[in-house]
Amino acid sequence: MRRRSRIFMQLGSNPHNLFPGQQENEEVLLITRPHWMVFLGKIIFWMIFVGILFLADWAIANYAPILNTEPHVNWINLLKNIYLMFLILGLLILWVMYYLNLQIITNERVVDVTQTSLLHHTVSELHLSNIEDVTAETKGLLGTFLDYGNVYVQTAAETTRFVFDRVPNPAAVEKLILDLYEALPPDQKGE
Amino acid sequence: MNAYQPTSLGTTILTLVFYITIIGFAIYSLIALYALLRFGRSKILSMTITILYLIIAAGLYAAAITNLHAIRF
Repeated sequence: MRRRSRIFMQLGSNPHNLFPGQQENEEVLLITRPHWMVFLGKIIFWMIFVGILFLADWAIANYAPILNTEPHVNWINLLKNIYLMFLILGLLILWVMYYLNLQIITNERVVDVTQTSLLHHTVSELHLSNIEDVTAETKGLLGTFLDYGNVYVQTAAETTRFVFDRVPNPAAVEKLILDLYEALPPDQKGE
Repeated sequence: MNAYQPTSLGTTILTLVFYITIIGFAIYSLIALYALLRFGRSKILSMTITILYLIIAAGLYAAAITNLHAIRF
Protein backbone atom coordinates (compact mmCIF):
# COMPACT_ATOMS: atom_id res chain seq x y z
CA MET A 1 0.00 0.00 0.00
CA ARG A 2 2.87 2.28 0.90
CA ARG A 3 4.62 1.46 -2.36
CA ARG A 4 1.38 2.03 -4.27
CA SER A 5 0.98 5.42 -2.62
CA ARG A 6 4.54 6.33 -3.58
CA ILE A 7 3.87 5.38 -7.20
CA PHE A 8 0.74 7.53 -7.24
CA MET A 9 2.60 10.41 -5.66
CA GLN A 10 5.30 10.13 -8.30
CA LEU A 11 2.68 10.24 -10.99
CA GLY A 12 1.08 13.29 -9.47
CA SER A 13 -1.98 11.47 -8.26
CA ASN A 14 -2.67 10.70 -4.64
CA PRO A 15 -5.07 7.77 -4.08
CA HIS A 16 -6.57 9.75 -1.20
CA ASN A 17 -7.14 12.73 -3.45
CA LEU A 18 -9.36 11.42 -6.20
CA PHE A 19 -11.13 14.66 -7.03
CA PRO A 20 -10.51 18.38 -6.47
CA GLY A 21 -11.41 19.57 -3.00
CA GLN A 22 -11.35 16.17 -1.31
CA GLN A 23 -10.91 16.54 2.43
CA GLU A 24 -8.24 14.73 4.41
CA ASN A 25 -10.67 12.46 6.28
CA GLU A 26 -13.20 12.10 3.51
CA GLU A 27 -13.86 8.48 2.68
CA VAL A 28 -14.72 7.57 -0.89
CA LEU A 29 -17.49 4.98 -0.79
CA LEU A 30 -18.39 4.58 -4.42
CA ILE A 31 -16.96 5.58 -7.76
CA THR A 32 -19.28 4.87 -10.63
CA ARG A 33 -19.50 5.68 -14.30
CA PRO A 34 -22.00 4.83 -17.02
CA HIS A 35 -22.65 1.12 -17.50
CA TRP A 36 -20.39 -0.72 -19.98
CA MET A 37 -23.44 -1.19 -22.18
CA VAL A 38 -23.45 2.56 -22.79
CA PHE A 39 -19.89 2.33 -24.05
CA LEU A 40 -20.73 -0.77 -26.08
CA GLY A 41 -23.53 1.18 -27.80
CA LYS A 42 -20.99 3.77 -28.87
CA ILE A 43 -18.58 1.06 -30.01
CA ILE A 44 -21.32 -0.48 -32.16
CA PHE A 45 -21.85 2.95 -33.75
CA TRP A 46 -18.08 3.17 -34.29
CA MET A 47 -18.10 -0.30 -35.84
CA ILE A 48 -20.41 1.00 -38.57
CA PHE A 49 -17.58 3.25 -39.69
CA VAL A 50 -15.17 0.32 -39.55
CA GLY A 51 -17.65 -1.58 -41.70
CA ILE A 52 -17.51 1.19 -44.30
CA LEU A 53 -13.81 0.40 -44.74
CA PHE A 54 -14.53 -3.26 -45.43
CA LEU A 55 -17.50 -2.36 -47.60
CA ALA A 56 -15.29 -0.08 -49.68
CA ASP A 57 -12.77 -2.89 -50.12
CA TRP A 58 -15.52 -5.27 -51.17
CA ALA A 59 -17.06 -2.73 -53.57
CA ILE A 60 -13.72 -1.99 -55.19
CA ALA A 61 -12.93 -5.69 -55.62
CA ASN A 62 -16.33 -6.42 -57.14
CA TYR A 63 -17.32 -3.29 -59.04
CA ALA A 64 -14.11 -1.38 -59.74
CA PRO A 65 -11.17 -3.80 -59.76
CA ILE A 66 -9.19 -1.30 -61.79
CA LEU A 67 -8.78 0.70 -58.58
CA ASN A 68 -6.72 -2.16 -57.18
CA THR A 69 -4.09 -1.71 -59.87
CA GLU A 70 -1.31 0.83 -60.26
CA PRO A 71 -1.44 3.83 -60.08
CA HIS A 72 -4.94 4.00 -58.49
CA VAL A 73 -4.14 1.59 -55.69
CA ASN A 74 -1.72 4.09 -54.14
CA TRP A 75 -4.51 6.66 -53.87
CA ILE A 76 -6.87 4.11 -52.39
CA ASN A 77 -4.28 2.98 -49.88
CA LEU A 78 -3.57 6.56 -48.85
CA LEU A 79 -7.27 7.31 -48.37
CA LYS A 80 -7.80 4.10 -46.42
CA ASN A 81 -4.81 4.89 -44.24
CA ILE A 82 -6.01 8.38 -43.37
CA TYR A 83 -9.51 7.05 -42.74
CA LEU A 84 -8.06 4.41 -40.41
CA MET A 85 -6.11 7.05 -38.51
CA PHE A 86 -9.29 9.01 -37.85
CA LEU A 87 -11.10 5.81 -36.91
CA ILE A 88 -8.50 5.10 -34.24
CA LEU A 89 -8.73 8.72 -33.10
CA GLY A 90 -12.52 8.35 -32.88
CA LEU A 91 -12.12 5.24 -30.73
CA LEU A 92 -9.73 7.08 -28.43
CA ILE A 93 -12.13 10.01 -28.05
CA LEU A 94 -15.07 7.67 -27.35
CA TRP A 95 -13.13 5.91 -24.64
CA VAL A 96 -11.76 9.13 -23.12
CA MET A 97 -15.25 10.63 -22.97
CA TYR A 98 -16.57 7.46 -21.34
CA TYR A 99 -13.69 7.16 -18.90
CA LEU A 100 -13.73 10.78 -17.76
CA ASN A 101 -17.42 10.81 -16.86
CA LEU A 102 -17.81 9.56 -13.34
CA GLN A 103 -19.68 10.09 -10.12
CA ILE A 104 -18.11 9.81 -6.70
CA ILE A 105 -20.00 9.27 -3.47
CA THR A 106 -18.15 9.99 -0.26
CA ASN A 107 -19.26 10.01 3.35
CA GLU A 108 -19.71 13.79 3.03
CA ARG A 109 -20.91 14.56 -0.47
CA VAL A 110 -21.75 13.52 -3.98
CA VAL A 111 -19.38 14.61 -6.74
CA ASP A 112 -20.36 14.59 -10.40
CA VAL A 113 -17.44 14.79 -12.84
CA THR A 114 -18.72 15.46 -16.33
CA GLN A 115 -16.68 15.62 -19.51
CA THR A 116 -19.08 17.22 -21.98
CA SER A 117 -16.44 17.48 -24.69
CA LEU A 118 -12.66 17.12 -24.77
CA LEU A 119 -12.21 20.68 -23.56
CA HIS A 120 -15.30 20.96 -21.37
CA HIS A 121 -14.75 19.48 -17.92
CA THR A 122 -17.20 20.11 -15.10
CA VAL A 123 -16.97 19.06 -11.46
CA SER A 124 -20.16 19.56 -9.43
CA GLU A 125 -20.37 18.84 -5.75
CA LEU A 126 -23.36 18.36 -3.54
CA HIS A 127 -23.15 18.06 0.21
CA LEU A 128 -25.25 15.27 1.62
CA SER A 129 -27.08 17.71 3.90
CA ASN A 130 -28.53 19.47 0.82
CA ILE A 131 -30.17 16.34 -0.53
CA GLU A 132 -33.93 16.45 -0.65
CA ASP A 133 -34.91 13.51 -2.77
CA VAL A 134 -33.19 10.62 -4.54
CA THR A 135 -34.82 8.73 -7.39
CA ALA A 136 -33.56 5.63 -9.18
CA GLU A 137 -34.94 5.03 -12.65
CA THR A 138 -34.53 1.89 -14.69
CA LYS A 139 -36.12 1.81 -18.09
CA GLY A 140 -35.91 -0.06 -21.35
CA LEU A 141 -35.18 -3.68 -22.14
CA LEU A 142 -31.42 -3.49 -21.72
CA GLY A 143 -31.64 -1.31 -18.64
CA THR A 144 -33.97 -3.80 -16.97
CA PHE A 145 -32.02 -6.92 -17.87
CA LEU A 146 -28.55 -5.52 -17.31
CA ASP A 147 -29.64 -3.47 -14.31
CA TYR A 148 -28.55 0.03 -15.17
CA GLY A 149 -30.37 3.33 -15.13
CA ASN A 150 -30.42 6.93 -14.00
CA VAL A 151 -30.24 8.18 -10.45
CA TYR A 152 -31.63 11.65 -9.84
CA VAL A 153 -30.53 13.54 -6.76
CA GLN A 154 -32.77 16.49 -6.02
CA THR A 155 -31.20 19.23 -3.96
CA ALA A 156 -32.88 21.46 -1.43
CA ALA A 157 -31.02 24.57 -2.44
CA GLU A 158 -31.22 24.43 -6.20
CA THR A 159 -33.84 23.67 -8.75
CA THR A 160 -31.37 21.66 -10.82
CA ARG A 161 -30.71 18.09 -9.86
CA PHE A 162 -27.77 15.76 -10.10
CA VAL A 163 -28.14 13.05 -12.69
CA PHE A 164 -26.13 9.85 -12.56
CA ASP A 165 -26.39 8.88 -16.17
CA ARG A 166 -27.10 5.17 -16.79
CA VAL A 167 -25.04 3.85 -13.88
CA PRO A 168 -24.97 0.17 -12.92
CA ASN A 169 -27.29 -0.90 -10.11
CA PRO A 170 -29.17 2.41 -9.68
CA ALA A 171 -31.26 1.09 -6.77
CA ALA A 172 -28.12 0.36 -4.74
CA VAL A 173 -26.72 3.80 -5.54
CA GLU A 174 -29.97 5.39 -4.43
CA LYS A 175 -29.97 3.36 -1.22
CA LEU A 176 -26.35 4.27 -0.49
CA ILE A 177 -27.07 7.99 -0.85
CA LEU A 178 -30.19 7.76 1.30
CA ASP A 179 -28.35 5.72 3.95
CA LEU A 180 -25.59 8.29 4.05
CA TYR A 181 -28.17 11.04 4.42
CA GLU A 182 -29.88 9.18 7.24
CA ALA A 183 -26.54 8.71 8.97
CA LEU A 184 -25.98 12.47 9.13
CA PRO A 185 -26.32 14.14 12.54
CA PRO A 186 -29.82 15.64 12.93
CA ASP A 187 -28.53 19.21 12.95
CA GLN A 188 -26.94 18.70 9.51
CA LYS A 189 -30.02 17.38 7.78
CA GLY A 190 -31.80 19.91 5.64
CA GLU A 191 -35.24 18.95 6.89
CA MET B 1 21.57 7.68 -62.83
CA ASN B 2 18.79 9.58 -61.14
CA ALA B 3 17.55 12.46 -63.21
CA TYR B 4 16.33 15.53 -61.35
CA GLN B 5 12.56 15.74 -61.44
CA PRO B 6 10.95 19.00 -60.40
CA THR B 7 7.94 18.68 -58.07
CA SER B 8 4.69 18.88 -59.99
CA LEU B 9 1.79 21.07 -58.93
CA GLY B 10 -0.29 17.96 -58.25
CA THR B 11 2.31 16.58 -55.84
CA THR B 12 2.53 19.93 -54.05
CA ILE B 13 -1.23 20.19 -53.62
CA LEU B 14 -1.52 16.57 -52.49
CA THR B 15 1.32 16.96 -50.01
CA LEU B 16 -0.21 20.16 -48.66
CA VAL B 17 -3.65 18.59 -48.21
CA PHE B 18 -2.08 15.53 -46.62
CA TYR B 19 -0.08 17.46 -44.07
CA ILE B 20 -3.01 19.76 -43.21
CA THR B 21 -5.07 16.63 -42.51
CA ILE B 22 -2.26 15.14 -40.43
CA ILE B 23 -1.89 18.37 -38.45
CA GLY B 24 -5.63 18.31 -37.69
CA PHE B 25 -5.30 14.68 -36.64
CA ALA B 26 -2.31 15.45 -34.44
CA ILE B 27 -3.99 18.42 -32.74
CA TYR B 28 -7.13 16.44 -31.99
CA SER B 29 -5.06 13.51 -30.72
CA LEU B 30 -3.02 15.73 -28.43
CA ILE B 31 -6.14 17.35 -26.99
CA ALA B 32 -7.67 13.94 -26.31
CA LEU B 33 -4.50 12.62 -24.72
CA TYR B 34 -4.08 15.80 -22.68
CA ALA B 35 -7.65 15.49 -21.36
CA LEU B 36 -7.00 11.85 -20.51
CA LEU B 37 -3.73 12.52 -18.70
CA ARG B 38 -5.02 15.66 -16.99
CA PHE B 39 -8.38 14.39 -15.74
CA GLY B 40 -7.96 10.61 -15.80
CA ARG B 41 -8.17 9.07 -12.34
CA SER B 42 -5.63 6.31 -12.96
CA LYS B 43 -2.42 7.81 -14.30
CA ILE B 44 -0.96 4.39 -15.02
CA LEU B 45 -3.93 3.43 -17.19
CA SER B 46 -3.89 6.83 -18.88
CA MET B 47 -0.21 6.54 -19.71
CA THR B 48 -0.62 2.98 -20.98
CA ILE B 49 -3.42 4.07 -23.30
CA THR B 50 -1.40 7.10 -24.41
CA ILE B 51 1.68 5.04 -25.27
CA LEU B 52 -0.41 2.42 -27.06
CA TYR B 53 -2.23 5.09 -29.04
CA LEU B 54 0.99 6.88 -29.97
CA ILE B 55 2.54 3.62 -31.21
CA ILE B 56 -0.53 2.83 -33.37
CA ALA B 57 -0.75 6.43 -34.66
CA ALA B 58 2.96 6.49 -35.50
CA GLY B 59 2.63 3.22 -37.40
CA LEU B 60 -0.36 4.47 -39.38
CA TYR B 61 1.40 7.76 -40.07
CA ALA B 62 4.46 5.94 -41.39
CA ALA B 63 2.25 3.81 -43.63
CA ALA B 64 0.42 6.91 -44.87
CA ILE B 65 3.74 8.62 -45.70
CA THR B 66 4.81 5.53 -47.66
CA ASN B 67 1.53 5.58 -49.57
CA LEU B 68 1.89 9.31 -50.22
CA HIS B 69 5.36 8.89 -51.66
CA ALA B 70 4.16 6.04 -53.86
CA ILE B 71 1.76 8.33 -55.69
CA ARG B 72 3.14 9.60 -58.99
CA PHE B 73 1.69 12.33 -61.17
